[in-house]
Order: sequence, then structure tokens, then C-alpha cells
Amino acid sequence: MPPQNYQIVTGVVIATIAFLLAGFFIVIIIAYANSRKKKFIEEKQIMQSKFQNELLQTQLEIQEQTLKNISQEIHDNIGQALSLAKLNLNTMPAINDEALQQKITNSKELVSKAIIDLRDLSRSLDTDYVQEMGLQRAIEYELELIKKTGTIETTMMVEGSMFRLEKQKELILFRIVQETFNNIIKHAGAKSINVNINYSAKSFTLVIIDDGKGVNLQPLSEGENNNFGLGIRNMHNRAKLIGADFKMNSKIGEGTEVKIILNEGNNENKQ
Amino acid sequence: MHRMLKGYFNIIGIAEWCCFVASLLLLDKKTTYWRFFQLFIFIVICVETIGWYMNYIIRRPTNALPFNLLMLLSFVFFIWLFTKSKEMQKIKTGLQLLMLLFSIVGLVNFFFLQKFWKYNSYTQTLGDILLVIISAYFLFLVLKAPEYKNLFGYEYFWLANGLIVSSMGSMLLYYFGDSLYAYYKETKIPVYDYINSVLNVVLYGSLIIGFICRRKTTRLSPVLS
Repeated sequence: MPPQNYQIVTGVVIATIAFLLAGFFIVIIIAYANSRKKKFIEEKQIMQSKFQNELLQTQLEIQEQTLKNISQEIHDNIGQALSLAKLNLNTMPAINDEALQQKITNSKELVSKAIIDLRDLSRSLDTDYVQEMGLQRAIEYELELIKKTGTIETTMMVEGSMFRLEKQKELILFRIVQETFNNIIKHAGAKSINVNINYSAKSFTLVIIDDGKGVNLQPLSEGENNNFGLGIRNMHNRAKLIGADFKMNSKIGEGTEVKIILNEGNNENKQ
Repeated sequence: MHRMLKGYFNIIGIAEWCCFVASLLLLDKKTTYWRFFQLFIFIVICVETIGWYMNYIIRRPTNALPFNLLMLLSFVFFIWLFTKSKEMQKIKTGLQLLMLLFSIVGLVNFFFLQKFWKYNSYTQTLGDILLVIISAYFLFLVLKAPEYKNLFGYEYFWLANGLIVSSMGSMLLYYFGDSLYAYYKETKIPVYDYINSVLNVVLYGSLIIGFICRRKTTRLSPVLS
């Protein structure tokens, strides 16, 4: 057999081994490149999440500042004006006309009510006031305001010994609770609201249950009635910002439950 | 008799049967078009059996005819399978056109050039080159894609790898087939058979891994494109 044939055969064998090794190396290289891509994508997701959190934090700070400004404006301007109007009504001389006198009395009552309502509104908007009262007292206060309307019964149950959370966390939780109450008042048509707070060594749990008409959560995530879905997503994002777990369960005709859980390591200032 | 049985129950035959059994066990309705592998490998086994029969029983001078037809079917089948992958959707029409052109070229070779009874090495070489290019392009697209994908669990990754290695090796074998045969006659060392066996084991092994991945993927996400 000519030597050239031996060379060809040797070449073929070497080339085949080379192809097999090449196949093996292709797998290794592709696996390596893929793992780097995975790492890059993970890092990108972390950065995006961090950015979203910072953005949300900024939005919340702006919102709180705005609410504070509105609260001060209500107190300083509108409150003052109504107080002066009440004073003028009180200092009016008595009038013989019974019908007119009744109207003046009614007006005084309406102005008094407006002053009280505005004071209440100003307080619930005021960040400092909320942080001074503490979360539990602030929620009680909101429930009292709702009960005063006469349309919704409210109850609150507290389990465990109370402790304060970080001020920022209490404020964010309070705003979530306010938004939940607003949703119940505007959309649920509920007759009662029950709030349960549980303080334990391992966690802080806040549950709000209403007996309203409930909501189908499925289509909200698909874009229908975007404003409401957006509200729920905002509450979820705010809870996530402080490391809390936000859950919402609802069935049509059976009411809604909102549950917020803040675990150990996220709590401080136990009293 | 021993030589006859050895001619059929060799490494390649065993690899084919293993692949066939794996396809029956692992592929079902949920794996969608990958289920066609059951039919394809069954046809491969039938062709191998017919080829063996022609060679060892009725002792025809050449058993190339069934293998020529199988060759055409194989290449068209693999190209068709790639048209179903997510990464190749943008060039799906191009691949379908390629399938058609290759079939025409293969049939022209089958009927007019190398004809029925001579092994259609031109079709083999062209098909191997096409599969290497398509498989390499597929791997390139997979790497280029922005989203992460677990490649070791992706059935098309194993298909592409198996095809690249076996096709590149096959090209080499068929190009230097005469030299390897002459070497065998001189030294009685069947280098051609050894290499061919290794390439087929790599291919069928990759297919079996692909079947496992396909089954897992369809179980994790029931709706699969």
C-alpha cells in the first residue's frame, strides 16, 4: 500500500479525533459563555430592581412632602377662614325672623362640621402627626373617621404586645392602609371593616377585611380598569420597598382581605 | 452466520435500537413534532435491516439504493426540525426553500448522476455541509440571544451538537472512503467502521439526550410552540 494512503488514513483518524474534541470544546465554551450571560442578566436585574426601589423611594418622599404642604395649607388658610366665618356667625345679633334664625343656626353647624372634618383631614395627611401617634393609633383614628360617617362599621383587634416599627416603615404602612380604606369606601360597598394587628417576636402582621362586593383580581392584571390595578401594584411595590409581604385575596360577593406581613429583622423599637 | 449477525448487531445497530426505544418511551403527544423521531428512527432501522438483508442474505453487489433514499429523508427531516425551533423562526422560509432545493438536487443525483445503485456521495457531502452550517448558525443564534437559556436542558442544543460532530466526521469519511477501504484490505483494520461507529454513537447519543430534554421541557411548560 503506498505510503501516501497510510498518511491519509492517519490524517483521517487525527481529524476525526479533532472533530470529536472540537465538539466537546464547543459544548464547554458555549456553556461558559451562557453562564456569563446568566450572571450578566442577574446583575442587570439587581440593578434594575435597585433603581426601581430608589425611584419609588423618591416618589414617596415627594408625595409625603406634598401631603404635608396640603395639610399645612388646609390648617393655615382654609381652617382659619372657616374659623373666622364661624366667629362671624356666632357674633351675629339675634334676629326676629324664625326661619332666618334657623338658617343661621344650620350654617353654624355646617361650618363647625367643616372645621372638624378639615382638621381630621389635615391630621391624616400630616406626616409628623402620623409618626408621632404611631401606626396603631393612626389606624384607629382613621377607623374612627370612617365610623363617624355612619355607613360602615369598623372594628380593630390587637394581639401581642405592641412595639413600634421604624418611622419610615410605619408611614408607608399607614399610607397603604389609607389607600385600602379609600378603595373600600369608593368601590366595595362594604358594611363593615375589620382590622387585625398581630405583634409577635418574629413578625408584624396587619390584616384588613371587608364584607364588600369583592373584586376579580385576574382581569385587573390584564389591563382592564388600569387605575385600580395600578393602585394595587403601587401598594405591592411600597410593601416590597420596606421588605414586607403584601397579599390580596378577594372573591366576587365575598369581600376582600388585604394582608401585610413584616418579618423579624425588619422590626425594631420593641416596647 | 456469526459474520452475518455481527453485520447487523454491531455498535451502530445497537445505538439505533437504543435511540428507537428511547423515542418510544420519552416522546409522546406533549412533545409535539419531536414525536416524528419515532417514525424516522423506525425507518432508519428498516432501511438498515433491508441493507443488511441485501448484503448478507441475497448478496447483492451493492445495497446503496435504500440508503440513498434514507439519506434524502434524513437531511430533509433534520432541516425541517430546525425550522420548528424558536431561534430559527426568522429564517424559517429560507430553510424551507433550502429543504426544497436540496430535495430537488438529491433527486436529480439519484435519478441522473450517481443513480440508484451507487452510493450518492454528492448528496451526502452536500447534506453534511448544510447541516454543519445550519447547526453552527443555530448555536450562534442561541449564544447571541439576549435572554438566558439553560442550554444543557435544551433539546435543539444537543441536536445541533450531535449533527455538527457527526456531519463533519461523515464528510471526512466519504471523501477519503477509498483510501480507508484500501487500508482495510491491506491491514484488516476497519478504520472506516470504527470512525463511523463513533460518529453514529455520538449522533444517537445526542438525540437520546435531546429526547430527555424535550420531555422535561414539555412537562414544565405544557404549552409549547
